[in-house]
Amino acid sequence: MTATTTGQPATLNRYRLQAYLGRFAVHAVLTLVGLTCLIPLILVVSISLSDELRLAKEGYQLLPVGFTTFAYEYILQEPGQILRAYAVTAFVTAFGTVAGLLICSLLAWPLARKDFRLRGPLSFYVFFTLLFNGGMVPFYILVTRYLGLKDNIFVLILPYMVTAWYVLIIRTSFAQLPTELLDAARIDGAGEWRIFFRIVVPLSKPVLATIGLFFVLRYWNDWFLALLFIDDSSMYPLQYLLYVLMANINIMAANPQTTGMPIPTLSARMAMAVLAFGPALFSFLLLQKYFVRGITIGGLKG
Amino acid sequence: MNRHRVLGVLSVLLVASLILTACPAPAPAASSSGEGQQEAAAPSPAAGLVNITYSYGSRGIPADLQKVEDAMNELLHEKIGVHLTLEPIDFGAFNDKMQLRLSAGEECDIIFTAPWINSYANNVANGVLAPLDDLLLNHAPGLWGSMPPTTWDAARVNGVIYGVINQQIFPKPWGVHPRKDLAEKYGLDLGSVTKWEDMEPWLADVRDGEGITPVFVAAPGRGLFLSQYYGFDPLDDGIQFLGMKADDESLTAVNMVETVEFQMAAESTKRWVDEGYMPLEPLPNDEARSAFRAGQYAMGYHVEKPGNDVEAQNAYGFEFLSKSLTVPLILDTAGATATMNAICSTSKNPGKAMEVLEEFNTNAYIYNLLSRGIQGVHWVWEDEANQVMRFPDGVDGNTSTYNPNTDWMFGNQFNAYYRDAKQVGAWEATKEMNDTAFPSEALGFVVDREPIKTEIAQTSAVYNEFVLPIQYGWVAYEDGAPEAIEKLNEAGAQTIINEVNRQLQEWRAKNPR
Repeated sequence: MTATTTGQPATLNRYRLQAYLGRFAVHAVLTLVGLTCLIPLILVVSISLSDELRLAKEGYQLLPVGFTTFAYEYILQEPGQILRAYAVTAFVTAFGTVAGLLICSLLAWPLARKDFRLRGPLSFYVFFTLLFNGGMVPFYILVTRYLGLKDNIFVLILPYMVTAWYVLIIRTSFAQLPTELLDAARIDGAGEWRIFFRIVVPLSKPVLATIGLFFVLRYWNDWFLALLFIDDSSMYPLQYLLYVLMANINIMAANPQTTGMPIPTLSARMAMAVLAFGPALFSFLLLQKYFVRGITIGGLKG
Repeated sequence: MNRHRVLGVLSVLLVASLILTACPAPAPAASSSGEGQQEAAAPSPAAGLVNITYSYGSRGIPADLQKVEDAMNELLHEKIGVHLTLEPIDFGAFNDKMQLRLSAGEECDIIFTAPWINSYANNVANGVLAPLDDLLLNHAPGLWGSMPPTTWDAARVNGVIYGVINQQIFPKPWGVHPRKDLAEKYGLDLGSVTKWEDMEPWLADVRDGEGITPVFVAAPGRGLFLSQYYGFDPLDDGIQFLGMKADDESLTAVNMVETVEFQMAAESTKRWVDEGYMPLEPLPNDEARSAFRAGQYAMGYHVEKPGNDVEAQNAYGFEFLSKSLTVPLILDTAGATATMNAICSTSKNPGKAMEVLEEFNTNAYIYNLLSRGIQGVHWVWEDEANQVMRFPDGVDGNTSTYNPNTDWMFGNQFNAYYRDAKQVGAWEATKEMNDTAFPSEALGFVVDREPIKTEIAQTSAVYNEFVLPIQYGWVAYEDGAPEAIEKLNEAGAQTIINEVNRQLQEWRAKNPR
């Protein structure tokens, strides 16, 4: 009403209101998205702390019903398997990421060099594997019979170490480096190794960080290689341990043969899930800013 | 200089890798025989022993596996000169791992195989299993004699036995197991119940009195149409609509959806869902089980084999009654071959492997070692005279360091010690059921799916979309059935039936009654 008499502040107010509304809408949407991510996690934690019988009667609640830590006590009676799985996954992820980055970038570098004579065939060779592969059974035969890697921790690392797709991304990024820089280095007497590690790698940190993150996620989340090649339960990685746990339950649930067999309770399985994702979740929170920067910079350049 | 060196190294690497990937073909003969020698030499603990590996499904890897293996070998070394290696594989990974190994031609000796996991039919079709007829006669006379020839016929494919049937319950005595407390509270006279529908007055009382949905059903749903209850031999579990009246001497397969039995079952199921006896939206299996434990259901209906009341009690914590409503019991191929152990065609010592199977099936000591563990460590006698065992004090099924709980996987289950005094006599009763069950006219017949692969896939999709809603009581029979039958026929149901009938006649010509 006052807005009609005094024009200036009214428009200001309107702009401010619009800005508020806009921000409110954006925040509301983001809050909803955030909640859809958060609520399942809270449910998992809540179920893991709930009393099994009351859970069956009252259904899932955001707050634990009949608070109990029994599920954790039950699992941690024998923490050996989980801890070992953690160690396996941590080693595979750390070693695989470092070695994978090194090999992929060392392969990408000559592919990015215009003065490399075999660039064409080698690029084709890398690209070829992106489209064609021998298939699962030959892969299995190669690994188990010729390489003898069954039940070997390195079978969880080696197959992913050179990934054609990552090599091509890194190559594209390398190719954008100014050749003058390299010529200058060469004139100053730097050898190939020095040029690579002192000039190319530091200048390509963003793409390497991105690919590094891809490697971390891939190794951390992988269970398939373990399904194929690991029989020894002391070498189960974390994700495979969870996979087997759930798959066992599904098989037992689906077959009349197995009706009599006890299956771990829902809260026990949720507790297991919490133990599996908890530490990863917190490490992600701590490292979040590096990840975000790596992805955005890599997105622009790579 | 440097550049050339790098180039040189790279091209050598490239060439080497090209050679490695391009021509692995010439290598196999040399290297596989080398590996074979290595395998034969390495794990043998004493000279003159033959190594036999047994691969089977397991719920996790038991902590005391090695102790049990050692205890078994103590006897097997001396008795048959075999060193047995147990290789349990998690159930969840078992099917994938075995299929991969077998298609890769990896050497193996004894493996678990069944229609529902590590498929027997596929394995036979792929030629990865060794024919067993001669081996059974020469190396396992006790095992061979432990079952009538009609039962062995169930494992024959084109006249040849490829799998050793584990004796357990063969027919499917479908029936009900109501909770004892609620049966008494609401005056259920189980003795007079002879069919599903006879349960209805009691179900109504329980529904009103307890305020629960009385019948235990897990997702996605389950109807009352269970083929054997209605006199059908399902012929092939993978072709859901296919069935044959078990006493049909003309061997005519039919589309069960078109039969009056299916209609009766569908109508009863619909009524049970509408009346609130059965949940319309069942919980996932594991959650439904916890709900049963929490007293949210009053009754289950399943294979009511002797001793099932005790098994249900162990699973859900209540006392149960149990009654089979299936008359007569039908012995069909799938039931008789539900769990088997087979010998790989890659095995170097099939004879010795068969001797191990003889021990699994006829030696109660070995069998119980494998399925229950070591006496005094993993179990103790409760009542030795009646062969009843129990867990040692302070140990239960979950905390035991050796409790595979898969008796039906290892051999003749009738050699197993009872877990509960109430079960005493259950094995004799089960064997009685097996022996007196009415053999289906098609016992031993197995559908060759190869010529009708496409139709099976198509009709299976149609079945899931159009028939299951009727079977689960979501859609009334008269509303859904005409369309479902039409769609099934469009997808090739009749082609399947014609082909199966042709195969049945061909089979009958080779296997006269």
